[in-house]
Amino acid sequence: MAGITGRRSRPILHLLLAAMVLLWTLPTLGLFVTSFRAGDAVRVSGWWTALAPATQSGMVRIAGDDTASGAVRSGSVLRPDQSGARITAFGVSSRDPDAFAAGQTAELPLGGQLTLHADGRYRLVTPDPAASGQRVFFAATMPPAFTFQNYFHVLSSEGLVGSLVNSALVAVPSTLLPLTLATFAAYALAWMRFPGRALLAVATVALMAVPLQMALIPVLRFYNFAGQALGLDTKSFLGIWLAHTGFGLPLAIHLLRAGMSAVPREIIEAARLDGASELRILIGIVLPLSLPVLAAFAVFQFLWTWNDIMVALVFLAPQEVLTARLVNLMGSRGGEWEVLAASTFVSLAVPLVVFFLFQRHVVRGAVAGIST
Amino acid sequence: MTEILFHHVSKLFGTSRAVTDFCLRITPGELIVVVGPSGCGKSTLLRLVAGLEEITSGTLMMGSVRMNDVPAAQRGVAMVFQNYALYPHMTVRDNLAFALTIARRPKPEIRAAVERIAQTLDLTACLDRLPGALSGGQRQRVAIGRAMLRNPRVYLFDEPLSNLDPALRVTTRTEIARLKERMPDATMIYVTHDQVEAMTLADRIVVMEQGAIRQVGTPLDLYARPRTEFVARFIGSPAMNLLPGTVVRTGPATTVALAQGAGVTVPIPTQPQDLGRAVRLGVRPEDLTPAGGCASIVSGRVLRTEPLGDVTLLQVAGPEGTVMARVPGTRTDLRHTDIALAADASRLHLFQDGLSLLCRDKGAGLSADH
Amino acid sequence: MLHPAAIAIATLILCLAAALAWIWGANWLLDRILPPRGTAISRNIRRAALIRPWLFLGPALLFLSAFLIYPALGTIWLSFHGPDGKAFTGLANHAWLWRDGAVRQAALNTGLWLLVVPAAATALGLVGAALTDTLRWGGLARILIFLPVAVSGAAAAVIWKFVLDFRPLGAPQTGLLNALVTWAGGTPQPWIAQPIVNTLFLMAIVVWTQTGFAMVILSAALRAVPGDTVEAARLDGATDLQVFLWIRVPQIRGPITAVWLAMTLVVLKVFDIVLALTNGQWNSNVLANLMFSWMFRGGGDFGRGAVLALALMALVLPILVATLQGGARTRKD
Repeated sequence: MAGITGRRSRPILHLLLAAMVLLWTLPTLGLFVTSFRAGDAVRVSGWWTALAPATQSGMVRIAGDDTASGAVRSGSVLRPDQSGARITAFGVSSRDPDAFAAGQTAELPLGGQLTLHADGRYRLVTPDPAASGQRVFFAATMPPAFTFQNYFHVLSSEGLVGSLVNSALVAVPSTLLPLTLATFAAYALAWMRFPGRALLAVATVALMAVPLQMALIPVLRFYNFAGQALGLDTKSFLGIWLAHTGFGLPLAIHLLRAGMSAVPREIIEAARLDGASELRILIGIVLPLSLPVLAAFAVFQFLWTWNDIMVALVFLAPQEVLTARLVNLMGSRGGEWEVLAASTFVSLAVPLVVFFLFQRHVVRGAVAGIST
Repeated sequence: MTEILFHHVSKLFGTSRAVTDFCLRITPGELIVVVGPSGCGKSTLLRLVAGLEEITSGTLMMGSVRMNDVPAAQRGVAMVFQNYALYPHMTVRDNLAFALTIARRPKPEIRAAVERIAQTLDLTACLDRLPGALSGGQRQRVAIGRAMLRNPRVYLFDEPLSNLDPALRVTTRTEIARLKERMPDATMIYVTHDQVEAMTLADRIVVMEQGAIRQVGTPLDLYARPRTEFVARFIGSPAMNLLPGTVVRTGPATTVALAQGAGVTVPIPTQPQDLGRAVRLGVRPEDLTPAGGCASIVSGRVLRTEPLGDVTLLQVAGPEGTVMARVPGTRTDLRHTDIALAADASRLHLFQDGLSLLCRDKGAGLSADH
Repeated sequence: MLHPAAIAIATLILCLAAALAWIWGANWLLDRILPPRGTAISRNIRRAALIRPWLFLGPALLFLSAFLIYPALGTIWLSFHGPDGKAFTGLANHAWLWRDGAVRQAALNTGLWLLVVPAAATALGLVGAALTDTLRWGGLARILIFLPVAVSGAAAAVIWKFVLDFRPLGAPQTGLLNALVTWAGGTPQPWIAQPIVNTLFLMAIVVWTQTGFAMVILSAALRAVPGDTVEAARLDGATDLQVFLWIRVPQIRGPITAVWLAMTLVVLKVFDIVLALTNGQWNSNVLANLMFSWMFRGGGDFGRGAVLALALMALVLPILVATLQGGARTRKD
């Protein structure tokens, strides 16, 4: 197979790429696995141990039973939540805890027999029904234990559902508004002739480089002022939408202009000869033909506004979005990795779905944004 | 029936001149072909007529109306683009109907018009397909149909055949010719760089170079009486040979001494003051024949032979440089032999400073006579 | 009382409707005032053609002025004023910028970031692009390496904090890195609390999030390199590595520069990862995070925040000039 660096792919190249992929996926995978583990397991063992069956040893004391009429007692050494475990060996003294294989019958030192099956059922025959405290040592293979408990927990008691809704309420309008405004502006820059067009196009590129930090304080001051003057809440969804729209417009105009300029000039001219107005050309010809680049920007802007924390912290402090909530949790629940992990993946679910659905558009958008 | 008049039309892009002082009268129902090398301004000229570019100076009239400021859509012109410019997201039917839809014509009328045109151009079967699913020839026909549907006064063709493969080019060319016969009233301007298209389609040909008209005339006129060396070499293939020489006798017929020393007498009049001046003798490859004893014009060694089947092209290294000749039959046997070539004196051309001596007396203006 | 989400959706529809109504209404009005017919047709069309672009551009220009241009000027103005943005303090904030130790620390770190991160992300992206284009399973690998693009800075911070997690000696190390260190016989370290080391890890995380971005762009650029130049080089006897280094990479110098500049802009704006992981403690602060701290902490100091924003802008300026020059050059070609 012909390729960039080689006609045949060499083992070393496979190894290199494998190392890269591992480095890029393992951290995420680790947290993902952790989000499905029980909290006490997370604290005593690394997530990598959770994937393979673990050997665990245990000890159970079979309680005496005064009311038992017979000399035979039966039950299970395993708790109900350990039902998948398999007993591999057992013993009746701490000196030799795995003297017998599962299914065998052990003679007790004080008389009587104990049989322990692989699924944990035991049968104890003792001469003294009331004798208490027969200890059973066993080694068991525990299957990987996973639970959705963490997700139930963070969604119900940590208030993540509210944050999820807030994030959506921020991201969707903050994507649609700049998309609409930039469509018209980009068309004018791409296909209308007027003095100052080239300068405006350059200016939008320049605005892309301006750090957001430059804009935060004056806009916040303006919101405070306007809020007080009009008696409105200074921290509102409308406020953050307008801010995101303003901040997203340079990239939107830049991307859409590049995409619209790629429509062949003759097609626009044919439409003009056919008598179409500018608005008609935009809606009927240019827009359908530049849908891919529209989608590319929409995906980018959605990911950026969903994942943003800075703008949200400035303009939306009380109604926490997912990212803000996550950073908050890092402070308050620093050690509870299972909670943090589940919260992280709740916050990542939507972006990841969007990413996988529109992966091609993200790539195209990235390439178009850089290379033009 | 629309007459088009260019009156000293110029177009500047910044400071570079695309079209310079262009004067031409196109009579109603005429098919004018504009030819010239790439970058000569012929496409710009078409776009000026269409209204896609603004005229910098001069006047463009259609009929009795000044067109300079009339918007493209209202000029009554239709254009067929080189890459067809079909709307890729619309079906053939919608492509054809687009202009009428915008003009808000009643639906039944649009439908009838579309089907009529589709029938004419043999497009009925693909009306509901997208342009992407059509062959090159079909796309070309849709583009022409889209132009026809608007029933324009003037058709503009911008190199419409250059994206087709050679075989299709010939059939589409004859199709356009047939179309023109069926619409004798339609005025057409057709831009191409292919001189065969120009020769076969045109009522008159306009040869452009560097934004200016070099010559206007019927195809055969241009072939027989090129006014400049540029036109002489642009029309006809292979291009005309130009041999340097000196005028040694003037009068009603002129004798020219070539580098070889041979004197050639051409029935083109010259004035006494031309004596001793440098000229170039033009002879078309197809006019050169092996000299069977009579006086030759060129002689030299045949470097290459290019058999084309019916004729053979000879590349002859003469003292004036390499000369192309076109002889009938397959003559690969002439390779690496010495050959002498002669030509009928009445088919020779004389150029002085790039201008034909034949046309010198007909007034200096090159483009003034419409 | 309506649900806030319902109010929000209604507001959104209202906003979009207003934008569309503006375009249609203004267009309609323009065609009414300057109709493209009648006796003054050519004059009308010419005038309308001059006005119409501004109707299309209007709303966008309004937003750009209100949220980028006016605030940029406002930030300059604020940098000469006190914490509340009212009292004029002259150059006091600017002087503070040069004197303050925390600023110096953050500026030093930002400088280190600028040196390391763009270069590392671009280089790794190039390697990734070359490898994923060569190998049969490269498509899958590309998606996996590109994936962090969809991950927020906050989530990336959690993901990596877990990798770097530290537990005291003796306790089981559940962080991947310390587990590996222990397994190799080393002593587990509190990575995040160690100066310089923590900055290195912060930078590594940003490289981790940005490499995929660099990779897909460079991969597209590599594929656009004409195949015949590569074949010609192979016929000349160049090895695979030589073909890559001498033929392919030189032909994508433009995209490499563009990616490098884009990464530099990303680095200057880096904020959320630092905020979430160290919040600038243990000498790991950067200018963007320091600016945010001054904006809000302890009632906030808008003047000092503004002057820090200006410092960031000053660092962006050379890149801006370079980008615009590059743009001007390609436009001329």
